[in-house]
Amino acid sequence: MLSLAGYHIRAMLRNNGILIWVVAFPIILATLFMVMFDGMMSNQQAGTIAVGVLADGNYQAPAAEPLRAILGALAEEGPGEEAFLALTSYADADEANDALIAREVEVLVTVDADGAPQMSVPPNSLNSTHEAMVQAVLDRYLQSEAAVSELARNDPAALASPEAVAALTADLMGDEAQTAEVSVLRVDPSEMARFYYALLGFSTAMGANVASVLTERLKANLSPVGARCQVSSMQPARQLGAVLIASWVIVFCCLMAAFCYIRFVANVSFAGREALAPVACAACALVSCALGMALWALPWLSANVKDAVLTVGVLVLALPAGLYGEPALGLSDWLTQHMPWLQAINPSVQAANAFYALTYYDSLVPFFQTLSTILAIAAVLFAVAALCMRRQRYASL
Amino acid sequence: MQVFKIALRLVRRNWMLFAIYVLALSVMGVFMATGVGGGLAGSASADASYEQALPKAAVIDRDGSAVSRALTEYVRANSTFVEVEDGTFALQDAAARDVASYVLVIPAGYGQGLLEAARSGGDAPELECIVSYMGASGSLMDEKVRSWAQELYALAAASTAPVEELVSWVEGVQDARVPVSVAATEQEGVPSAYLIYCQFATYPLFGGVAAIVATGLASLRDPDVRRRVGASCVGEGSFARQVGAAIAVCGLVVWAANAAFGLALYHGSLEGVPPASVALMLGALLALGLVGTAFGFLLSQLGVSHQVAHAVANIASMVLTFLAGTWVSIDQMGAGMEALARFTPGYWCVDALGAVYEAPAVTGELVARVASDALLVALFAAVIALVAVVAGRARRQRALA
Amino acid sequence: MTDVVSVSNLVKRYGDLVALDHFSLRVAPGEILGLLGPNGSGKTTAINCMLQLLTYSQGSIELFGQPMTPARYDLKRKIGVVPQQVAVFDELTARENIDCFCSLYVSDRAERRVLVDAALDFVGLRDFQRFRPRKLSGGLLRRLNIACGIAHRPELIFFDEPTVAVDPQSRNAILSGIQRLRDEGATVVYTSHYMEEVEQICSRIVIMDHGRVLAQGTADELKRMISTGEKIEIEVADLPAAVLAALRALPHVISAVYEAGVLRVSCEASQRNLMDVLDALGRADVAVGRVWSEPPTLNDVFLEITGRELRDETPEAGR
Repeated sequence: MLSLAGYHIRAMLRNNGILIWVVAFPIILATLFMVMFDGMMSNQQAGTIAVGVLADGNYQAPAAEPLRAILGALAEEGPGEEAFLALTSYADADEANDALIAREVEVLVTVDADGAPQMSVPPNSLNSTHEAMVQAVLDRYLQSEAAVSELARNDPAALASPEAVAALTADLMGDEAQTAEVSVLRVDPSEMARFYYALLGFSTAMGANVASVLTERLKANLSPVGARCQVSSMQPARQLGAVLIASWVIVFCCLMAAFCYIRFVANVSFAGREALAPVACAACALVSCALGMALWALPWLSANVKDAVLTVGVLVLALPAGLYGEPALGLSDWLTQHMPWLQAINPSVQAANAFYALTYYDSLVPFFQTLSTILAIAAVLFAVAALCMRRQRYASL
Repeated sequence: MQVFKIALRLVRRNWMLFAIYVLALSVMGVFMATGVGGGLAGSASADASYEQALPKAAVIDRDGSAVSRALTEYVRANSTFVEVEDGTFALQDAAARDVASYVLVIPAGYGQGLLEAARSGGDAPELECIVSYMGASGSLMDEKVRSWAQELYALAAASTAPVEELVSWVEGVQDARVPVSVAATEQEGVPSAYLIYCQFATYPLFGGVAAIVATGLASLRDPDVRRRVGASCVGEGSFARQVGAAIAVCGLVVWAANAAFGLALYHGSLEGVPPASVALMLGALLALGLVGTAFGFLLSQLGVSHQVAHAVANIASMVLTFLAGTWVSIDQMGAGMEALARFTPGYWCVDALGAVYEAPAVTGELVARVASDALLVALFAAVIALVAVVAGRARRQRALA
Repeated sequence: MTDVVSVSNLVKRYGDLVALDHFSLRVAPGEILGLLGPNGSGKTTAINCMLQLLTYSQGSIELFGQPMTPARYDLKRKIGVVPQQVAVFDELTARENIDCFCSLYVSDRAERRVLVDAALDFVGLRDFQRFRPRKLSGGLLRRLNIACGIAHRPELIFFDEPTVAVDPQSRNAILSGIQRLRDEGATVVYTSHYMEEVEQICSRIVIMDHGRVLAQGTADELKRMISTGEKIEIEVADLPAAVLAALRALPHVISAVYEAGVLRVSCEASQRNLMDVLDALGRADVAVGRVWSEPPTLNDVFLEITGRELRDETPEAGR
């Protein structure tokens, strides 16, 4: 059996398709990520927001002076950093509206007769974050004014003197109340790291190619070599064992290679738990083999169709793991919250989660729970493969 | 035209492959769109009202005071509230899996400490927060929380009223919001879900065509078949042209199938959208389909094996869609990467799609912009096709030498 | 002595098509049995049933005197198969392929090394042992196919059309190799639609068509079954109809046909056939060119039994 497994390994390492899909593809993709994410700006940096202002009589009136002051202050560049807003003034309402629709500005601020700001946004905007930021600034301005009015109404004595009003106004715009961002994770999470974890999930599914190719060589109805193997005196279970050993070794090595590349070349952190990565890779390799075996053992589909199903299936499985960018990450999070069972049975998702759990949680319980899920998926797929491969005689070849 | 017919027959025999690559990848586009832009019905904004997306937020109240309860209610009213347990694991889980974009932890004694600080003129105790690395919604929520706390601080500093009254004043102040309106346009815009679907169509239009060609026409590249054809009265040039024509038909059918699928799924949310807008988007995608077709023709002319062609098609699709900005917004990837992206056809296709999405109406300028983007993409297709012809000719001459 | 192969009343259907119609076969130890039949006659189906790769609706199969089932690995150890399609791993070299398939039967590595060397020498692939299948010619590939099937020294070997698309030199090597295997004690079931090969090496021949055994026996026994004993062909420039009629009236003549300048006469077995025909032509002053005389072939046997050629040629006209 070990000799046979050795030959399977040798054959796979000389197989162009396997070399490309299972060995090279993950490394190429990781390199792609490295190149593309280099110089990537943080999601939390907004950049300067282009704001249009209708500089009509209302805007110029004394009632709007505090608003003008705030907007002006935000449009000033600070030391070493760019301005928060870039203001463009329009004298005419139509001109301002046209500029907004034409996307010359992202937001248009107007002032009503009472000096209160109003905001307009263009339809079908792709910059909802910038709009929300400007809205927050204007809300705070209005709420500050409302706070003064509220206090004057409920406790007029507190605002008896101009100094008290000034002090209140200054406090409302102050920053004594602060929040401190804490990190509860072992390392600071990064969106880019999720792509790499998703890549490992993708590689897990892609590794199913190895087991599928080797399984094809076991069955008489799938290949001439399969016929030769099936009439031999080695029991099918032992032949299957040889396939499993060979495919597991190859996929494990490929996953470890991908992991090492991601860790040491792409410098993605695993928070000092690299020693446990081989355990994760071993489990992922097992489910990968099970997936390939189960698919190729199915009796109904032709080889070409199985090939395509595996290729596209891998892409589809990798989607909820978050491989295709922010929309996929969004989908992944949505599925995790609303259809967690779907994520639970997806080997790509679980593989990505394993590395995730390894990195971010203090406790290793989530990591081993994820590995258990992976092993359970593998067990089910192996059972399917075993059931389908029991047949040794066929109606036709 | 016999080779052309044979090639089409071969592709038709692999109809299952076709279905998998075109339909499955199109369905993936639908899932992506659902995750981002909402469901199939879409959110056609007939009344043009503005709705800000609410972030997912959670509060851990370790204080239990009137201040902390009020602050918790404020967060609840301004977010999609999620419950998170007060424990290390639960917090790690929430942060790692982005269960909440913002988790506010109100420390014990915060309410009392805030009032004391306000009345003594010192800094208030700090609130703790966990802000998601995904997007800016967490940061925005944090800004709102600080504003609320600062308002309470200011009122507490100015007045000696009891804390319950102060809190009710702050709650009353929250009603002061800037009214936001959406600028009216003459025509209804394309829903964001359909935009995402079209952006993801770059994958089947490029990679799908190339993979179908690679697999479906693999037997035409078989050396024995080529020898048989070579011995016939079909010249090499004619053979290449006819195969190219068949590949072009494949590309057209993939584009049409993907377009029809999208129109069928999103026809509800596209009601009211000017047909010209949709036509412009489909036109841009057709141009990209030509690129996929040309790429498939190049693979065919290079005589690459079925497995290599499969792999190359998928890798190239991933690179193309990434550089087009469908994975991560291009403007987040740095100037160098954006400069590189401009040399890829996907970038210009997605640029055209975005232009149609943002345009308030179908104007001459919009048509001109989309047309120029589409022509640029078509130019890529022409160049690739030319390279394919030259490469094929060189291979044939090498074989004869 | 117990038959090595004993198949009784095997029935195999593919839907409405009856591929094997109460097919029966017996192979004695040490013989080379030829299974002869045109394409689609059921030869490969019969072998696949015997090897338990195909289901069958009726009949029994015994190998080495014991009922054959898919789980009889002890019996499978003694069987070797050389399939019609070349069944080797493209990625492995010739030597690796032989060793790999041998390992399915023999687990001891040292023992296998000896067997693999012997197999390479047996098929003449020693100089090509490091070549991968893609680099081998058709003939060498067939030899590799054989080596993979016989390396483990089986007692019963199934050869399923092993010389298809093979050059004459390789074909001769294969046929003499099969005879050597028989000399070393193996029993061989050899299927083909090439009657010359079957006549050359097989001790007993079974002719089958449409899944049925039509006739069996040695080559001579089969030829004696038919009425044709001798076939004469004579080049004749011009043959009057009266002379042709006279030839047909000769004793022992079964049929006489004159076409395209060649006179073909089928006769019953007799020592005077050629002389009688030449005498008749001489008496009519008919000038003759070259003359051939040959005994009947298996194709004649098949033709007489079925009315069809063994190799799907159009049946002879004007009998």
